[in-house]
Amino acid sequence: MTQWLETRNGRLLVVLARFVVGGVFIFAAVPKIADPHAFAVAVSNYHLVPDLVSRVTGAVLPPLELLMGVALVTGVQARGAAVVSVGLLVFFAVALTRAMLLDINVDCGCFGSAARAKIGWDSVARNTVLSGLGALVVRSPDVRLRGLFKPKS
Amino acid sequence: MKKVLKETLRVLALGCALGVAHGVMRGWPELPVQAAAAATSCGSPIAAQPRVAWIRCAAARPLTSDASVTFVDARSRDEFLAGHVTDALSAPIEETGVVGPAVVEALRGARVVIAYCDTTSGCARSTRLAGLLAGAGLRDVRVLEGGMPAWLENGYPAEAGP
Repeated sequence: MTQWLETRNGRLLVVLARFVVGGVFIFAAVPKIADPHAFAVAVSNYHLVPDLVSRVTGAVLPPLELLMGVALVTGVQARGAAVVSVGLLVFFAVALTRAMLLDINVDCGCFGSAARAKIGWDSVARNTVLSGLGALVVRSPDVRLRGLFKPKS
Repeated sequence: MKKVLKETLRVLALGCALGVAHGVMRGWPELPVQAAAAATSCGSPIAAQPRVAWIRCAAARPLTSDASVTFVDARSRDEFLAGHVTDALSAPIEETGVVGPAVVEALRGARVVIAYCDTTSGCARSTRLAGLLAGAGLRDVRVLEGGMPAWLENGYPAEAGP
């Protein structure tokens, strides 16, 4: 797998994965930064953590998501950001699954107030796919875009 | 591997620092807490209670045999007497406008409270009741999707009388 990721196609996939995961995190972070209260309420609705943790998460997580998104898109510290993103995405998927199994019918809160949607298996699937893409970035020995399109001499 | 770990710690540290700065500068988000005394009359508007979750009839049905789960009927007393979920408690929110302390105390020991009505105006009465109960400090309050009509339609256990 690691060897294939060193090929041109592999590197192309890793760069695409960086842009997709990073783009999604930036898209998710901006509305949450604009309205941290709504995000804190969304976290609290999961009945997963105490209120104090929901409030701290409401303020701390969106800037962290934005930073991860920027790191992934620009390629600066991208593999570190990918590790954090995989951890977060897996945690989100577990939280969503738990809420679904407990029949807690709440707004996903995934994209703040930008896209209000009830939780569903599609959200779990999206997080799983994104964490898979993030894992590709972690495993890749070279995440750079530079030199990818250079003709072979 | 070491390099990835270093990058991870850097991203985490910087991200958390930015997050804390964000929280300090803009203030930590507040969670809306709906006080039970907030609504003192039928007419007072109730903001949507975000911490109240919905529960589907099929998921609520097995909970009727769970002693730690209590159903609360938000409809009028007459509607309750005509037929209600077996062992449900009557809390006619429209008539009283508030939830009496006796009802709150009776529900205090319940692990899950499920409020329902007849679904008029988008389950206004049951969501209002659930909001008040959550505001009174009950931790897990749900609203029954489809209310009493859906419950009866499915042939789930119901009884008439007090």
